[in-house]
Amino acid sequence: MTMLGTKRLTSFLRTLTMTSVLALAAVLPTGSAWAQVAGGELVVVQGSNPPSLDAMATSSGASRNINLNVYETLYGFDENVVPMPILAEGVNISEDGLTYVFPLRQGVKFHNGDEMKATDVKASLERYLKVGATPNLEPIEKIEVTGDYEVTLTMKRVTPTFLEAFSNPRSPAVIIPEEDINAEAGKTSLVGTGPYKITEYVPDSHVTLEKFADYTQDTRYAGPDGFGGKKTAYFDKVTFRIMPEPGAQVAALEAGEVDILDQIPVPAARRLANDANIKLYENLQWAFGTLILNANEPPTDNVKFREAVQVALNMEEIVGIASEGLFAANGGWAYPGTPYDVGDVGAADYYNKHDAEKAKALLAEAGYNNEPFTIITDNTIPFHGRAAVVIAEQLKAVGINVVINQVDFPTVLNLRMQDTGWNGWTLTMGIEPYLGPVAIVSTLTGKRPHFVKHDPELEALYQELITGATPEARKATFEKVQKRLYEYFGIIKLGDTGQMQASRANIEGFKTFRIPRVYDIWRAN
Amino acid sequence: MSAEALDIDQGKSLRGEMTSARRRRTLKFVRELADHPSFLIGATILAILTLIAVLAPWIAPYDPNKNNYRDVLMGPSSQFWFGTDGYGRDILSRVIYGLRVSLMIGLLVAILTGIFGTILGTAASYVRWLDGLLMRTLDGLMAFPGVLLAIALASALGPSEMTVIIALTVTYTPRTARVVRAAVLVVQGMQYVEAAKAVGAGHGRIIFRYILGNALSPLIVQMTFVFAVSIIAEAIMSFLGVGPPPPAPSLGNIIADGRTYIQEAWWVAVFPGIVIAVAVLGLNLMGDGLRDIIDPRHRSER
Repeated sequence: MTMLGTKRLTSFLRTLTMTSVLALAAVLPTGSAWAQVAGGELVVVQGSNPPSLDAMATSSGASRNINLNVYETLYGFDENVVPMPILAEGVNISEDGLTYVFPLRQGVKFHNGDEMKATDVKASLERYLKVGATPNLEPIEKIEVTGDYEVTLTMKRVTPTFLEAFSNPRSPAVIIPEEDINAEAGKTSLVGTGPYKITEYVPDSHVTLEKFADYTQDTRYAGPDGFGGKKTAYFDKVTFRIMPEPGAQVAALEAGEVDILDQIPVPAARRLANDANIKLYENLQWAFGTLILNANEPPTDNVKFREAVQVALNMEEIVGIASEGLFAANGGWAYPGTPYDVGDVGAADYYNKHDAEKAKALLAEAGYNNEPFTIITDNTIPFHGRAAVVIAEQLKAVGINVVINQVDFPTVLNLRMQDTGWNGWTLTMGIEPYLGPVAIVSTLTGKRPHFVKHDPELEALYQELITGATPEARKATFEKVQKRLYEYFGIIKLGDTGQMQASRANIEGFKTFRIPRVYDIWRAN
Repeated sequence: MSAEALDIDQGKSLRGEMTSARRRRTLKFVRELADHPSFLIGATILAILTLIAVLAPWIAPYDPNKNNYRDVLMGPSSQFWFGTDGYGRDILSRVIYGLRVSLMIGLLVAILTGIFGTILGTAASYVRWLDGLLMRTLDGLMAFPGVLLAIALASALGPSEMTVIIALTVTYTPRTARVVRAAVLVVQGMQYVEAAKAVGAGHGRIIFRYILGNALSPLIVQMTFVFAVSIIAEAIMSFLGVGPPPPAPSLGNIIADGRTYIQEAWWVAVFPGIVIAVAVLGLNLMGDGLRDIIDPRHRSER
């Protein structure tokens, strides 16, 4: 039976790989001209409402999916997560690292017909400092217009990682017209510079985008690259439809009512793997599954107890079940093969051990006396709830008195801000691992570390990380960070979880990415 | 024979006659039950389900909460009769234990609403000045759709089995109280109650000996009804995530687990669904049968 299960999965993955190869072959230019077709309507489905269409004021993924087709930034990440100029011509950084001069591209039109100028950029960045959802621009001391098409930023202090933070798509520092400078969060005119403009938003139903006819393409590039590059809008109209129920989403895709599912449940993908009408797209490096432990609340205030939890867990089973089979058992805090991958430093002796004897010995050493271990989790993001259930069973097996408190995601976000009342919290980190070490470590340090109680050693490593002058230096620091995480056990890496997307077979050019890019894709005739 | 002795003898034989009359009535009642087809079917179904629920630890083939990553979403087979869910857990075992949870909740809610409904209903009809106050308050509660009120209460109290029981008891007590009140009002006007009052019987004696005993039949029918709707309500609440928290194998939880892959793994949601349908059908058949036999008006119609 176990063999059969494994075989089934393997053959499924093989089919999937072949599908991806075929899909890839279909979109690559093969000598002859691309058969792009302009016009028509595209329907993309996602599970939740965008909380806001004011791109800089929200860090929600549901918003990002839509907004980054509508708005653009001066700098953004390319396909390999390296900052690239988008609305800027480039950047000149002074020797002392305190002045950033951004020359702007000329002739870029806003959706309202006005040209983007330095005054708009200044206004947008100043607005970000007021309503922006991240502190990414915090190092900026002063924003000056130094020409019609030039903006100069003066920094409070040297911040070698500023350009990465500035390119961060989480709450992107988008450029909007000067007139919106005083708009409260969520109250802008929704005007941007992107290839699509927002024409309608009906909450719980849909967001409609229309092709921006006067879009100014970035001709420095051959095609789209990451969040920038030369973007071409083929569809006249794009609808982001909100459908919370995954089963209904799949049915709509099969019926041909919708074209792209931002996320499809893996069992459904498995069933549709041989369906000629459907294409599947797999992104294995989508998110980190984690279990966060409250270092402030007994029994998880005891590092020996936390270590017991770490060694007791069978990660393959947890992530395998929680991700429905699309995962990698990786104990490192970077994706394999990415620049900051330091292998299993620190993890080797602790990750995926499911060592019941050692766990019991550690529990005894910690003086554990059957105190409740409360896991807060939600059913809004299925991975969270499923991981909590499997973790609970495994911890019960070594004698820990686990209680699951499953509520909805917003409630969990409230509960976890309490210093007490919870011990464990299951969380998938999507954008942080994509952005790299600084983003991950910043959630574990500063004002409110995820595991509640500060670890002074990690705080020091964070400072070392953000001031590291070269990528090599930062990687060396990150190695120390990973090692430290396997001594403190405040956050337990469960594994890497993938995302599966799907489209109708006649959608061409779609590539899986952090957001569904609706430009440079078209419907084959 | 003295006059005194004669009186005693007459009293004895009178008491004897009353006892045998009651015994005859009971016998007749049992015979009628045994003759009533829908009651019989319903009672049999319920007896079987109860037996399964009680014997769960002995008859469930697997631990209902044991995850098994290698065996996720396996279809029904000789190894897993009802298949497995997304955690690799055996659906049959989960359904058996889920039945336990559902029947337990249903039974407790039926008993608790019976108790509180009787107290409130009797108080309302027996103590006249309380009637308006009590019944208008209960009407207020009844203005909310049943399951909605239960969900609101459960989300306020936090998910647990106890919460479900409390929420459903609060929700269904007003309906039971109404039924009891109506029955008590009718019985209260009967001559024998007047007679008891006339000979100076206390309130307690009147209520327990003369009124409640004769108002019992609609209450019993109402309780079987509450039992059945509680099972459905529990499933709805679990499905919506305000029932017993995971991984508790309640029937609603199992269906909720299966909802996402109804097309890929129909067995996860279908088997517990069938069990809910059967349990509710059994209870309704039984309730109908009881009503037919107990309620004289329906009896004459039959």
